[in-house]
Amino acid sequence: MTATVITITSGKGGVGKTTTTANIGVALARRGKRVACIDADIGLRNLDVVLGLENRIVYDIVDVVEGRARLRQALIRDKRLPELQMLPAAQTRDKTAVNPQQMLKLTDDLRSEVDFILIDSPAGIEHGFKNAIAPADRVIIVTTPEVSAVRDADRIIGLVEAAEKPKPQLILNRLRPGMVKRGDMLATEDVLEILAIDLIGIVPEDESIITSANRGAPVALDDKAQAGLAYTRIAARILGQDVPFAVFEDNSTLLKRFQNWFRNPNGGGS
Amino acid sequence: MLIGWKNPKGYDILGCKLSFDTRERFDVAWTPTMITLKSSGDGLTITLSDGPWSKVLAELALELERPRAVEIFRAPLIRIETGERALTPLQVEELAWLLELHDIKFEWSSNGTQTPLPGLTEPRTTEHPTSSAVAVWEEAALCPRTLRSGQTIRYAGHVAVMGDVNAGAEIVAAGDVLVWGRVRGVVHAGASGNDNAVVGALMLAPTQLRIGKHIARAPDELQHPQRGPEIARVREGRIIIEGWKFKD
Ligand SMILES: Nc1ncnc2c1ncn2[C@@H]1O[C@H](COP(=O)(O)OP(=O)(O)OP(=O)(O)O)[C@@H](O)[C@H]1O
Ligand SMILES: [Mg+2]
Repeated sequence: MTATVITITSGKGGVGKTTTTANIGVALARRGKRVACIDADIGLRNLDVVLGLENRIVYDIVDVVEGRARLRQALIRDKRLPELQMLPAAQTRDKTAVNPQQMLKLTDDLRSEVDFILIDSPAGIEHGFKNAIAPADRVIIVTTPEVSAVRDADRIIGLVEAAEKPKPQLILNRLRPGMVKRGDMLATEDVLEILAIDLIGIVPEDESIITSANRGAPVALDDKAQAGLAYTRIAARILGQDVPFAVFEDNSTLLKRFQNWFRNPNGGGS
Repeated sequence: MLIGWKNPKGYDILGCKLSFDTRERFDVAWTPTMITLKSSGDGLTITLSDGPWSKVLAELALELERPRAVEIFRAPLIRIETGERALTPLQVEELAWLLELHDIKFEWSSNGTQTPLPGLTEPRTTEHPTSSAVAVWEEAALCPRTLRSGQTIRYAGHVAVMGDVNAGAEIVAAGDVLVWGRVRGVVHAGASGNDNAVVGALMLAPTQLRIGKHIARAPDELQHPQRGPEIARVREGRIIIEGWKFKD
């Protein structure tokens, strides 16, 4: 068995890539999958903080690439979840310290030891993004329901297509059903109409994401948080299960719209 | 010839031959084949090949439309090198008209010796020259997928897209643009100065629409675009969008 490499990227910064990587990692590990998360955001590392592993860093990705440490030495194993490991980014270097070929080699060395390799991409479309995308077997795009974030997601999807990767899947993060209902926020269907890729999860705006990230205990460890459950469902979909999309409060428009659409006798598609 | 992705099926519409190019994996780029631009110390030299004239003119028109064109063509001295090619008075007229459309001052250079060509000393009107001034290279490029933000098609002919033209994407064509999908980005048809060009789409909600030298932008208030195919053209000096009706 060889691992599947999934790159989590977005274009726009701050939309939730690191949060998503950490939580999908935790959710997959909780289902018994062996997972390695790689922080490819060199110079701005924070996956380690969100996972609560910061104080155990000895070596980082640049040490591995430059031969100062073996991959096995640099990987940090999560005490709560022995199936979960993380390779931290270097904080003192910049993105050019690693190139796409080195990323390919690194992931190839890891593939036989885990089931999933999750790569947390930096924002942007430059060097760091190209590093993160190079070894990807699957790509997950994170966006928030904001026009600028969706625009950047669209740009990234174009670049992923140009890199001849399979069609990416979408996570819509920080959805606020109340705002959508008032017409103050793009609805899921609006985003999907523009991006035209498959949805793999919707994560609601949830304060517990912020509090849990600050504590270094990802929300996916918490079965009571709405957002935690959202990540559990995403992990199940990644594993190929057909999990229905939860209808968050006020968020029934998606279903209604589709029903109307099928009934419309003149509907030739939209 | 110019679209930056591989097209495994080698699409061909209406007998127009296309080929696709993967020179740049991350950006859709275009390189002209009929003209070359070279910056030197004191200015810019535009060399025209002896290929089909409409193609030469259409490619120059597209170069003039590039986002960086202002920088490139701002050179203090612009020379046009025609090499062995002898331009007819009409061709001279067309070229001058195209450059003046973009407010560009230039002088002629033929075989290195600078002989001003006839007809250029007189003041010029910015009217369409009579005949083939509408430089459309009568070929079409088919883009078989959605154009996403940041992707651009520049083509010295007509362009057809099977998919959407998303906000942030751009099409510049010397001829017509037809989109089997929604248009939310920027489309410029008739970029070589052809006011007879049209833009058609299943849904037209562009950020900006240009036809020939006319520009229209989306209204500031959000409007619900009409459902159903529409076609934009220039009528009485303005861009008008009309619902598409089947002719009987
Ligand atoms: N669903 C959510 N609800 C509430 N807060 C969230 C949610 N998702 C992310 N956040 C918060 O948004 C901030 C940015 O998230 P995160 O660091 O994951 O983004 P990023 O895309 O990795 O950013 P960067 O581009 O800087 O790497 C964090 O403070 C995070 O806690
Ligand atoms: Mg991040």
